[in-house]
Amino acid sequence: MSVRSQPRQLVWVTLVIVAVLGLQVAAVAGSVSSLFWPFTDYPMYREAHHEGETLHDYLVVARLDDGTERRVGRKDFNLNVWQFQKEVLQPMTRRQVADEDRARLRRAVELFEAKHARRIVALRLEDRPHVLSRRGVQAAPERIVGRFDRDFWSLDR
Amino acid sequence: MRRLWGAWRAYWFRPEPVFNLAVCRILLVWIHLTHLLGWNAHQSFAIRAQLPHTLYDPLPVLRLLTLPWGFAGWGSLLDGAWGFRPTVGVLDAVYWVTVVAGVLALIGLRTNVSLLAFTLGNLFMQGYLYSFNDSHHSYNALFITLLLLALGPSGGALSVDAVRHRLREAGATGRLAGPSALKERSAFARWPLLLVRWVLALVYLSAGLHKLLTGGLAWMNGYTLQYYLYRDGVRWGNGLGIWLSQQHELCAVLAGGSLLLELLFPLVLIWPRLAWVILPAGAAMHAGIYWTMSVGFYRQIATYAVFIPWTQGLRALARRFAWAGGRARPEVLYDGHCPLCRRSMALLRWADWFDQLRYTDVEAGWARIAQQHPGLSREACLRDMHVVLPGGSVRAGFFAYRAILRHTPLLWPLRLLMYLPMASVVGPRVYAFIASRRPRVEPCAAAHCEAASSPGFLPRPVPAEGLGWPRWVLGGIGVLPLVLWGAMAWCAIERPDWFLAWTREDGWVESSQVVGWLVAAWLSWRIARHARRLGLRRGALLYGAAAVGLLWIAGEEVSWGQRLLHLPTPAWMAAHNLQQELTIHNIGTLAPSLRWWASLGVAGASALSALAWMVRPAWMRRPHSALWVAHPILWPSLISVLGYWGLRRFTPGLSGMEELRQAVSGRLPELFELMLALATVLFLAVVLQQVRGRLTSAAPVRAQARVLRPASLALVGLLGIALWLRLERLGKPSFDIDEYLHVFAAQSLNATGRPTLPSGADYTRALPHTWLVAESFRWFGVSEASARLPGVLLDLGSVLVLFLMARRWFGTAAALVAAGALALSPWWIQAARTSRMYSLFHLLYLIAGWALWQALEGSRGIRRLAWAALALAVFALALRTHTLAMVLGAAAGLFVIGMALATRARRYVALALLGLTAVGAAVSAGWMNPQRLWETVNSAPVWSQGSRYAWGYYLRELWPTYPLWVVLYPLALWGLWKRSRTLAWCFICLGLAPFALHSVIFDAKRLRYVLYLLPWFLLAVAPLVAGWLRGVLALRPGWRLAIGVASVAVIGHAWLWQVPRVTEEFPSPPWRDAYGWLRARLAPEDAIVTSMPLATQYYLGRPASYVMNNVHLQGVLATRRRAADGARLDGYAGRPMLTTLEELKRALASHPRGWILIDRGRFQTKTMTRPMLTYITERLEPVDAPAAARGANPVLIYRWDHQAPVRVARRAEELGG
Repeated sequence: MSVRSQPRQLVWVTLVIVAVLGLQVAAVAGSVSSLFWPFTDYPMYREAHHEGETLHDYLVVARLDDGTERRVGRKDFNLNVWQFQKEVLQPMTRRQVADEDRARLRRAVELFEAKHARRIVALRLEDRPHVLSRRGVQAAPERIVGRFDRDFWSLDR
Repeated sequence: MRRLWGAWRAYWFRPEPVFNLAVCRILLVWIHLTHLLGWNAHQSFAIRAQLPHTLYDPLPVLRLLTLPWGFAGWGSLLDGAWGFRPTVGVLDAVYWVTVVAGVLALIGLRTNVSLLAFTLGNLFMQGYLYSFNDSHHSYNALFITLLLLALGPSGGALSVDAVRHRLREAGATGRLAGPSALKERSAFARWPLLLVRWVLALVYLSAGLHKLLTGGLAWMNGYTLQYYLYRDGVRWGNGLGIWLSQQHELCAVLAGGSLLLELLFPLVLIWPRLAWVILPAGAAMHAGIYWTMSVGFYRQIATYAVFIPWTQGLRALARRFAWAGGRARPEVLYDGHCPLCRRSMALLRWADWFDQLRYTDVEAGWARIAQQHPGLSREACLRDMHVVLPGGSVRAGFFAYRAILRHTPLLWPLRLLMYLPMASVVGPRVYAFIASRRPRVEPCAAAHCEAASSPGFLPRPVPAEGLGWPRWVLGGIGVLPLVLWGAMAWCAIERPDWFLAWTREDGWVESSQVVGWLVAAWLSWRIARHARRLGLRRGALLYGAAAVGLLWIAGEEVSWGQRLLHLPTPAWMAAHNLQQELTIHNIGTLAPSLRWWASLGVAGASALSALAWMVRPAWMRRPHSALWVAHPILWPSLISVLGYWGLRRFTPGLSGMEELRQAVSGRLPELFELMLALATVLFLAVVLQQVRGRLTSAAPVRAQARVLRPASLALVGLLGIALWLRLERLGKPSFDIDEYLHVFAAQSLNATGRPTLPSGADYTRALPHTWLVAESFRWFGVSEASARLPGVLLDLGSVLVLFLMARRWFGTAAALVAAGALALSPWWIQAARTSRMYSLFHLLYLIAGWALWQALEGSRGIRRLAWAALALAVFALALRTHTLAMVLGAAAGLFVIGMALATRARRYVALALLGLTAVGAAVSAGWMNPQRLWETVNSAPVWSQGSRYAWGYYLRELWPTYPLWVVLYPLALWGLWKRSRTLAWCFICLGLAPFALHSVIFDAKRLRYVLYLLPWFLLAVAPLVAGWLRGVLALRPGWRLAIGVASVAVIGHAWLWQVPRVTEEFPSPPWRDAYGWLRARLAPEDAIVTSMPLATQYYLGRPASYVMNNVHLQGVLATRRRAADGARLDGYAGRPMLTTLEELKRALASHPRGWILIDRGRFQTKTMTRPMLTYITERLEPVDAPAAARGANPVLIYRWDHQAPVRVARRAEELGG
């Protein structure tokens, strides 16, 4: 089949080629994650890390209304790893907490309470850090990052 | 240009085997289909369905796929609220449709459609799953590949479609339909695979560049990979990853290799052989990532299939195993007059990938067969298929098939079947049973055969009959009315505000009706004349009368008699006419019955025409039938007229809004009249075409649609991209300071006829732009997007004018370069996206310059006068738009004087002009105030004082943003000078001289002030760049591509570099978001202090209490009014101004509660005094409002509350003291 015999198709295909390349370039140049999906940018794992840097391994502990404490994970909130990171861990680890962070945590707590029919009174974030070194990744002393009571995420605050 | 186009075609559309495409299709569909079948889709959907709606933020692709549900304006297609969320049931249905489509795509049945459905289904499902703040990359390359395969001829081989095509061809024509599947080539088989390679290269390159630009070379230090390995290893419980994270040196080596691989991946586009190294390395990298970090990109590995030359590989394999070539081939003898035999041979031919067999039609080649194989009889060969094997032995019937299969590896599984026990007994019987019942057809005449071989049973498409129009015109006639009706109906239901705005009195719908009826009258008149020449007297008479009637209807629409003659509306008419006008069709009781009878006529005419076209009675062949019978192509337009009656009963979007529903219902007749006018015009156009065709007795039938020339196509594409770049999220940013002036002035213009600001002052600066904004508001309602739309359209006009100018002077290639650079310039785009006079002024300056050139040098005689008149008119309009237009006068004078000096005979003209200029200046000085003129030209606001008298300001600014142009411009002017000194002088006068004026004389220096000169720079540089491109195209492909990639990188860099500067030049504070946030917290008695009172008025709907912006005390809007208590009033909104700390304290003390809103760009000492600044930051509580803290220039919010002693600790005394 020759392109000469199908000039109109040639024109359409040319437009498609330009559009596809344009979308991919726009996605990369604009660093937009989802606007042109499935044409996206690939910025993952781009940051460099150095010797002595700390790796955080967070653990969330919930105090329930009956006074008991339990470790809670992403499945307790019906969230996947990434959603758990965004909805639960980020609000608790941010230095300057915004209203949006509180709303996210509130949303997550509501998911937990809907799933378990239990009320969370407070949350505690613990960290089991590790440090990068030439000899490998070495464990560092554990610490409590913060305690968060209901006022933190409550609408009434 | 032609060479460029030729190179493009040679690169993308070189014929290649469709087999490669088919293998990729099967492989990728198979991989993903197995994944789908093993995936518990219902459970995944059900889990997402439980998530709260606040988490649901659908990706744009999902919004597109769920249209029209959830649509809430064009902006909503990209982000924001979306009213539709698919239920689990819908998703389950999509899943099963996708699976079925996948199966069809796999076997290649209706390949393009099924593969497209498969891809869209997957995009829908995966898009939904990614619409909960959780999107990933692992499917991207696969989906893009599937989409492109769906658009290419991927069903041309290894598919049911290909087999069906061969069978149909063989059965109908006797031809065995081309070469084997492996050899089938198409010019459209290359681009999908090549495009996927490009996308993959861009993907890897972007990943590598991100690492290099963000992490630098330190990314390869080993610690980085240790970090990621350990983090993901712990996250996913991957022991191998944790172990590897302890190996520092190994991590450093692996990180270096990965980065190198990503950065070098694009080289496979230039040197395809590198794929043998890069692809295994890439696959190893992804496998390693999967094993150590549990991140699965195996689908991306599957897309590497596009790099593999499957056809060549199979051929090599065949040669290796001696399946093909170098041996004598068996000869198959078949009955060419037997359709079944031909189809069997076609199947064999398709499966014979390596050309192992020869095929001979016994009827056609019997003479040769008899000569070579004297032992064979013709009757036996016609009765049973025969195969002559290389050794000379002959097999017949079932055993012939068995022998054939030995030579076709693809059919070897069937061979097993034929060697089953008892196969030798059963097989011949089955063969004999079928062979004895097969039909035979005798040879026939060519014409008869052609008719018999028609593959379908449908009659020839009726719409093209006798019209002689190209398909796109016919398609337009068929589709346009329905699209228009659909769009209007959608607006009536979903966007009643638009509908009401469009159908208002003297709106565009009514204007279109008038134009339609006038066109219809003209067409009717022309038909009457042609009918008379054809001897159709009755027809001529009736169409002549119809022309008069249609003219009358057009007049009725605008009631022109009344308007022209200024007749008063009689009392009876005023009482009974719906619009209180002197028209018949709007008389209360008559209007509905007119619509009813018109509809009945349309319906009756449609039905009778349909009947006539189906029955085709003898009178249909007479010439006069064309005058009365509606052509089938018109049926959609007739149906769209009748759609009015359905729409009257269908306004679900307006339920519960009775008043609005009634308003829309009242305007629906306008839609009816619009569609009726359109249908009439189309009917008459078709009749005229038919009559003309019969008049000439040879209607010119165009066998092929006119091919768009590549340059036109490129221009259309360019304009499309330019339009998208300018329209994209046009309404999203809040208005910036200068935009409010036009917005409020335009609203006032519409309401009162005067461009007045809320302060009561008239805003007459750039009045033409305000008119355009006002008109846009009337058509599209008041919004950010509609205010900015005129600028966008004018800017596109500039691109188009620039293209035309460049094409006239330097040819098409240079025109495309110039227009492309202008269309993609971030500065230019941003100026177009601002509701300000710049786009209008840019266009006017360009047109005025061109007209000036044409008047002085480019034309002769009466045309010269016309161009001069145009130049003057545009100059006057430009002057009304921006005082900078005076530059054009200076440039024109300079040009004329220069040209006169250069011509010996005209030197006296130059002297006369110089003398006139001097006299003019002297006289002007007498009655004008030169000091005032100088101040006007040099009015420098305080914010620009830092750059006053900096002569090198523009060069300093332009060098990093347009380095190419700065370097190329002198070269271009030099080249132009050698080519045409007149043209070069024109460019110097219109481009370089104003630039010098701006640099040296004008005080106010901002890049936006010299943007209007950019087209002149581009015009000069474009031929140089175009010439360079031609040189590049003459190079070898590898170099060509390398230079092309490098150029794109350099230009892209220059392009991207400008974006932050543009943001800096046009900062737009998020006032809408800030006030949206504040609205929920604002009490009616709260005071508002702001730097932007018009923003408060626009977005909050109430005036600000105080204005705190000392810049308002200067410049064109310096306030001269004072309130009763002596306070100064702001020139924009007429609100009291706070100019000192004491005034601020008094204001805070006099209100128990209030808010201060200032954008960060104005939170500085130019806007307020330093004590005020310090007081606000130290004494008031900053409010954390996320909505206001966006963008380069966020809105800062402070509040005071005397009743809140703890949260806001400032008491009234303290604030007051």
